[in-house]
Amino acid sequence: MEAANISIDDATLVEKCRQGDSDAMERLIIKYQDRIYNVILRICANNDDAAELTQETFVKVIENIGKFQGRSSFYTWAFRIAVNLTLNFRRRSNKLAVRPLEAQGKESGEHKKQLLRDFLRDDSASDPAELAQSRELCEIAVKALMRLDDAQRTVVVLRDIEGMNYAQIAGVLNIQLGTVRSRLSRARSNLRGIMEAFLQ
Amino acid sequence: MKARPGNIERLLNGYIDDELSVRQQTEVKRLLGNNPKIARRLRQLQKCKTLISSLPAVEAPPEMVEDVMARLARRSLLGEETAAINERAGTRDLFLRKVLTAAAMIALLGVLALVVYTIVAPPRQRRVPKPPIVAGEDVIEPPRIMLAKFNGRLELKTADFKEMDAFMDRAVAENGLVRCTGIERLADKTTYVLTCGRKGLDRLLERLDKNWARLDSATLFVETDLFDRPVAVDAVTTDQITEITTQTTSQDTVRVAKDLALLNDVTEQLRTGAVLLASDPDRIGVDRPVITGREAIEKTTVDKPNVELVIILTRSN
Repeated sequence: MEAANISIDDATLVEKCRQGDSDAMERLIIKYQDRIYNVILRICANNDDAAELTQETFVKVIENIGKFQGRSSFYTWAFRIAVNLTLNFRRRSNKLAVRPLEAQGKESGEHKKQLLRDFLRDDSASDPAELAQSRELCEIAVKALMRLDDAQRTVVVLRDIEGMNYAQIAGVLNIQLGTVRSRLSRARSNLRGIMEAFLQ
Repeated sequence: MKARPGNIERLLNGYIDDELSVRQQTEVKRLLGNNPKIARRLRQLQKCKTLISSLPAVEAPPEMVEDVMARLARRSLLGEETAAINERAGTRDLFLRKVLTAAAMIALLGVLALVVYTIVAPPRQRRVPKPPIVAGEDVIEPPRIMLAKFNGRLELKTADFKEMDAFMDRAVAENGLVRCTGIERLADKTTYVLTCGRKGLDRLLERLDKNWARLDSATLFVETDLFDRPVAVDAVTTDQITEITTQTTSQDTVRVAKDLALLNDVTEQLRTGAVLLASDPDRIGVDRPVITGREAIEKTTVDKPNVELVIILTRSN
């Protein structure tokens, strides 16, 4: 993700938003809505909640844009708001229902297992474009992701879905860089374990 | 580089995410070339990353911009309403505070005034209950009244001249009036020039009253401001003399004398059968004077020797 390029445009948009420019507000929303919505959706795993939280994120961003002091990038600041809202929402509602990955029909489950087994084979190629076409593997990936705790899932989403570097993740979550490394390491290790457990 | 599994995992993830320094990358490459297990683990982690990152990006709902802007507008409106409500509440609160402040100030002023009054005001006289009046003890008397000076002449006629003259003589002596009484005696006429106080006069009159019936006539002439125009009170009694001589002003003395003169005239006319309403226009409609009695006079008057009464006792024909 080209955060530096985003920041240049962001500075202009932010300044216009501060002056009450509604067009700038809309442009800022349009610019980040999909990415923020996507991150929120992968953390909370519910389309309606994700839509609601995304709206609330932009409302807070615009309402508090006067308080944005530029000590971090607008990109980091906006995602911090989004992630905090989402994690707070998850703590309050406890909506995440941990469902076993094999909660599908028996035939469908066996097919998914085979797909996953093939994917995890050491000698298999893993073309992301092909994987994206596999709805079953995507479902497995989402459900495995949801088996992680919120903290681990968040760092994985920010890194592997949003594409943030470690420093940006540390800025969004307001944690140390080393914490990001260890948390991400544990998260991926757990993901691997979850998926292998699915194959048992 | 330490060979602990946790460190290797972090290095491998860093290697996958391109978050290692050049030296670390070189070290990881060396490890990968020398250790097939680490190389296999790297592939496992890469597959995890690939699987998650290959999740299709989900677009936000198409109405996101409109929804956000609408929510902003709604919140702005609510914010204004809230501000207005807060302003009204603030106005009420301010008014209440002003009222409470005013009440507190009034109360404070009241307390302050009370304190100042307590300090400045003279100590209150404690009302001492009057002690019961015991016989024989001195009693605080009411203020005495200064009576008007009296000048007059009392003409008494009696057939029992000698007895009455002797009686008068004893009465003067027994009431301690010798020193203030000049006596001039003729064959059928004795003149007593009495200069005394009311008490002396009263005692004398009280004594004379016992033989007043032996007099054929008794006329009191009360001097007025008009020279040689005294008021004559015929058939005067000792009580009437007391009444006349105990007025506080000369005008009252003359007025009472006239009233009694009229009263006595009417009484005499009624007794003889011919009513004379008035020989003097000033006498018409005058109230009967109230006789207060000697006892009351004695208690309330200052006894000064301001009575000059000439008593002329003559033998009646």
